[in-house]
Amino acid sequence: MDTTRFSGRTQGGPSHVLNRRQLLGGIAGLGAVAAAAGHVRTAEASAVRTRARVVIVGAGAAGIAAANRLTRLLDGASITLIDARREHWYQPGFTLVATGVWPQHKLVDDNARYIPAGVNWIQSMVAEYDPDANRVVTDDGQIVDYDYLVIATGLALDYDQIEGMSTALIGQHGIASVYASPQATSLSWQVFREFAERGGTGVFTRPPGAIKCAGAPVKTALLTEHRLRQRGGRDRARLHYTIPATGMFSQPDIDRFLKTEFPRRGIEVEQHHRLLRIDAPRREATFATPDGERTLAYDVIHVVPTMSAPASLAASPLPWQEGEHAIGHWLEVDMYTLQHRRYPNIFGTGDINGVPMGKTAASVKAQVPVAVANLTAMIADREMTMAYDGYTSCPLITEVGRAILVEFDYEAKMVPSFPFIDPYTEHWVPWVMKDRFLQAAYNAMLRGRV
Amino acid sequence: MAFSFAGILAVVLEFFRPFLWLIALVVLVDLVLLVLALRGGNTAARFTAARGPALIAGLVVLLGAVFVLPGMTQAGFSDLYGLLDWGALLGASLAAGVAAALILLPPLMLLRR
Ligand SMILES: Cc1cc2nc3c(=O)[nH]c(=O)nc-3n(C[C@H](O)[C@H](O)[C@H](O)COP(=O)(O)OP(=O)(O)OC[C@H]3O[C@@H](n4cnc5c(N)ncnc54)[C@H](O)[C@@H]3O)c2cc1C
Repeated sequence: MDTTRFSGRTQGGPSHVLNRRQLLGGIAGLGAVAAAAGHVRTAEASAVRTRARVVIVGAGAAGIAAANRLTRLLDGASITLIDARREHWYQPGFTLVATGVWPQHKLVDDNARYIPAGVNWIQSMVAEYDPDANRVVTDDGQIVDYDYLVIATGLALDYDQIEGMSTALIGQHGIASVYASPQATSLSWQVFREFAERGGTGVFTRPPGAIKCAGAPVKTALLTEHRLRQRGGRDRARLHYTIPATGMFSQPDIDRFLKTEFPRRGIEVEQHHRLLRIDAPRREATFATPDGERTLAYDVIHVVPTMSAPASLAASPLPWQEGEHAIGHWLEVDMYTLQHRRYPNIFGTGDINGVPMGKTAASVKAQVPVAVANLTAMIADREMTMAYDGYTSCPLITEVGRAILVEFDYEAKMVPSFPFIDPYTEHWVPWVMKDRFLQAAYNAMLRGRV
Repeated sequence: MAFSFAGILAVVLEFFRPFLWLIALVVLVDLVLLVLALRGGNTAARFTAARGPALIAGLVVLLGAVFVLPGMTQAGFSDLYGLLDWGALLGASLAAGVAAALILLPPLMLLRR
């Protein structure tokens, strides 16, 4: 695939129009909703009768979706969900709030609305995993025994790995970060809004290793550049996008597109830059580069931390012990069945999984039916037949009002849900999907319906 | 990867969930008005008289939607590209127009004696 297949639509930006690929066309009213439903496998067999004790750790996107599906698939099982967090954060909306598209209140929901009746919700955090004894221990000392365990803890944001950085700084000294929390996204928009009017130097970082929604740092940079154009600060702004190696995106076609799009829009891509330190009062960021340390002065910095397994899981016997996924202490699951490779009564789903692809809500949508169906098969003493193909998706917003709907699998092959939505062209329809429909699709996923 | 029709319906349900009560109210009021219009006799004449204004109203809503919908999504016409986007805009506007005409039909039938 060559980059010229991408549409480089340029209203307001530096002019340079790449060849456009003619789209195939189609009506999108229902299609948009359907695409939002995305890659769905509802392989719900008739419920399996069992008295098994199933414990799910984490009541985020994956944990709640798993609880809903298991409730329908298992008849008579005791299902326990463990998570202290009562609020449900719609994280795919974080980027929209941080760039002034949405208000903050759209991000926060109530977990209780989605947890099915009959599920025992323990509002604590798991502090210890003992897979040899089939039990977990919570931070308030409860011992919870299980026959089967589903791990859906999401991941930890390692802001403390950046010297001088803490989440308390977000919104101050020109520091923004869309990852930390709904409130941090609002504070980030305050920082970006001021920047869009005044201009200055903006530094947008991307850490090494696996991160959730790898498109979010890219979208934040592109949308901020668009906001600068809209609010008059573009001529006075200089933008840097720092990446730890040479790649900007794991899907090669999109990687090539971004390597053209960023320079076209005047965003300097700084390769081999890893953020080491922030001097907040002086507004300086120091990076490790192959030529030694480099310090950049900034007016605004978008900080994206490295990410890893939550501490209690990292300290347990459950993470990968070697290989690329050992670095982040990611859960050692088979990349297809999502079953733990050493403890067969444990399954993983969501961001915590040490698999080559898939730290998105879209992946959760594809992973949960697989993990749940395979767990059910195991309980029923049947063969596990479901396999996760690495499906992940990112509505890559390039400007307010347009996006590219990128969907791909383990082989980095584009797997568009709907052939009439071209994964190589910026369109309004994917933007509308992101803005209006994906939250509905996400909620349907939480309820285990897609 | 396949996706189910039931899944699509679930997404549609989630999309409308916050205003399901409003939709139910409008449908209910419309149904009541329709029953009243039908029971008032002269149904064919009422329908013929109401059809024109309902269609005009639907057309106005359709045209209005074409101009308003992109802005409602913080986009502009310059963000629309190709058959997909324009088709979606026209399709959504058409749906809005048809919905408006259908909603207005019962009260208009009741008004036309
Ligand atoms: C800025 C941003 C933008 C994004 N954009 C998109 C997008 O456009 N499209 C997309 O598909 N995805 C996107 N995502 C990614 C998506 O939100 C995540 O991939 C998804 O939420 C992962 O679900 P999860 O259940 O694995 O983790 P989470 O939803 O994070 O939930 C994990 C839960 O586990 C709990 N937990 C953690 N540790 C413990 C413990 N020890 N004991 C008990 N509970 C525990 C936490 O409290 C939390 O409730 C984005 C994410 C961010 C941050």
